[in-house]
Amino acid sequence: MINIVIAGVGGQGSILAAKVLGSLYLSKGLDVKVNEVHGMSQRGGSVVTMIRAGEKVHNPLVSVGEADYLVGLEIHETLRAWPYLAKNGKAVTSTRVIPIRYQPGEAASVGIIGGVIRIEAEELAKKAGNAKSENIVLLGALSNFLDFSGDEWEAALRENIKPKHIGVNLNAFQLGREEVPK
Amino acid sequence: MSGKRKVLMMGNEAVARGLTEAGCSFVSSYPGTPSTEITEFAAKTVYAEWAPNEKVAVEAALGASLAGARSFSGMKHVGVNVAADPLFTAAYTGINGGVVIAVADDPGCHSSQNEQDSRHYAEAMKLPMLEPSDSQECLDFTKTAFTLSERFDTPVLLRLTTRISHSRSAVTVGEIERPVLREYQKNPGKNVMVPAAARVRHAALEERLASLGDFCEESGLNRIEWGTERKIGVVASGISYQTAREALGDSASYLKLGMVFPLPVLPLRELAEAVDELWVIEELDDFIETHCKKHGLKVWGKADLTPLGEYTVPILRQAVLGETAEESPQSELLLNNVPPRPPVLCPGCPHWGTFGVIKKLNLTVMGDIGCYTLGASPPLSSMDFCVCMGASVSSLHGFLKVRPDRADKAVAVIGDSTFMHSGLTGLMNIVYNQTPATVLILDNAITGMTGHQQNPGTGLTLMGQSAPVLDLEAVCRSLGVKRVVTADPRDPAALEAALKEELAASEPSVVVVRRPCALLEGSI
Ligand SMILES: Cc1ncc(C[n+]2csc(CCOP(=O)(O)OP(=O)(O)O)c2C)c(N)n1
Repeated sequence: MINIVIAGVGGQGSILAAKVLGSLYLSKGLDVKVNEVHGMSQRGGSVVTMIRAGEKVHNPLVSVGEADYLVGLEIHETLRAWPYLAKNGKAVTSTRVIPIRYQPGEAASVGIIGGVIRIEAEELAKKAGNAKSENIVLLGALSNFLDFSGDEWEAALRENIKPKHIGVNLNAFQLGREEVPK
Repeated sequence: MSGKRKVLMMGNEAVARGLTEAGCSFVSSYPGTPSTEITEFAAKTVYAEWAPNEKVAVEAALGASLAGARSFSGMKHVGVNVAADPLFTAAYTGINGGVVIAVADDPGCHSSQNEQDSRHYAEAMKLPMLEPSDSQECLDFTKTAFTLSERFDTPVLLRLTTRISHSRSAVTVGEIERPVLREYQKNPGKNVMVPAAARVRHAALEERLASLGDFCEESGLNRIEWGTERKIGVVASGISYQTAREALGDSASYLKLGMVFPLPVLPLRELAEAVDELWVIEELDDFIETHCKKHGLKVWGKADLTPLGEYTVPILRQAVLGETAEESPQSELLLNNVPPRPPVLCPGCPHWGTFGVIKKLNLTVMGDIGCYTLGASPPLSSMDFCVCMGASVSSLHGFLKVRPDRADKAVAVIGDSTFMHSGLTGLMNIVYNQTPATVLILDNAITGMTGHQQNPGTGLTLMGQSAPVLDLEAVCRSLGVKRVVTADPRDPAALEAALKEELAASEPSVVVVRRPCALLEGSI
């Protein structure tokens, strides 16, 4: 079973990233479940999206300590979702900080955890042509650890992204992919 | 196998696909998380509309059914409270074209004001209820629900929960049936529920329930999956079945229920006799457990499992197997280091302006349900009461009846969609029973909280056709409110002045605070 958790803030595009991953595993003939958050939390709250793939997937939720991969779209959210990560799991995070307002407590620093791959996703997304393609930059980074070919990734991106946006997103994917040393 | 390709589909989309395949030709719903997308997807293939509230939606669906169409309505769990009146009696009349009502519960209160368990409604209304456990079943059970509806002459409830509605899983789609209208024949004995007819129909309802009881004993909707051992048996449905399968694996045996009302006895006995320990695993209330106990079965359930929130794999392993998951010390450290990030009003949201003034004037606020409920959280912290849609207006009236001295310091705050849903009658009551209440209608020209649905005030229908725009000010005046003013939340000084004047007035007043949702303006 493969378990992936995507953590971010409502509106950052976790759902699209999850759909792309879902398509990839489905095309390999695996059973897939993707759990999304719609509704209240999308109003700027924390959002955790989960992808599970295997011979047969029952529950759509990843348990604490079970995620093989954690993709963080924002620093605080990466930290918040950290407990999901398995002991030998891999984490990729954007260095992006979206301030948490009107709440007690300190702004978190990703420095307190080790072994996470940091990506300047916002910069790379801008370079790709649209600051909103951070989610796809991070998929590009993650792609270095997953067992899919470049063609398979491209097919899954095309399946889930409208033709008029695909160019920018393919760029974003490539930039993210090149950020992580193989 | 049809050889068709599998696609990943959200549960709600699969319900929409199911009703399309079933030849349903009329959908009327009111939005509510987690049910909203069913109707949005349905609108791509079937005639579908947003009604002003769930009662109107269900009654419209009943009318379409009477005229011979397969019809559908979808709502969140609390929507059934609003639509309960027609549903209880539609159980008596039965249907002409098949009627399916989807009800989405929200264990864990992800986007809701309560955690009510809609299975009790099935029992109280005596309506059959199906509960799918993944997207394929969402599609299949919706079609089955239409078949059962027509076979047994009854509306059928389809129960969903957040994790089923909002998870994607693999679906193989089927063929689309062409909608056909059944013949319409006037039949007052069956369809006009005056007491004499209702007594007769009550007997028919009890008979139908008995046949449904027989049906569920045999139905393939409920199945036993034998495990490799006979130690633990589990009775479960929907998402709880999936969580239990994951937690307890292939060694346990399962009675997987696709129909949660009425509930069978024979397969339960069969499983109970075969295993050492029988567990009922169900989120929220002990609905299935109570049924088991009524039939003399010894089961484990709520004594060890909470009625609160959602179940997870570790919760079930702990309760059933006594296994505790190891906590990583790092988790604790991290959780204490990251401040929570609850939902907040968007930057530029017009509700900021309104609540800024309300906070400044330190008013008592009878709140309501919508994005503006976020006015209750910091930094605004300006809400005293919020229970259900429409309650702001009616509760302010009661508050002021017994504390008239507060009339210049208290307001009701209600959104445009919520006002149309159930604020009108409360305002009528304020005029009729006379309190000098001040009601703020926050008109952001959209149903915001549930993700931008059209409503009678937006000028567009669900299917994108233009529609007359409801004139809120004229409606309020027509209800007898003499003081109706309009203000802009982007002009706080003017809003404050208007509000002060209306609070001081000794008769009912309405302030329409008007400014389109920031997401509409900027089209984010
Ligand atoms: C009976 C019932 N039906 C549906 C809902 C779901 N719901 C919550 S808020 C809301 C709409 C709010 O829209 P509006 O009043 O226009 O306020 P806005 O969010 O746009 O500020 C809906 C449909 C509910 N809570 N209760």
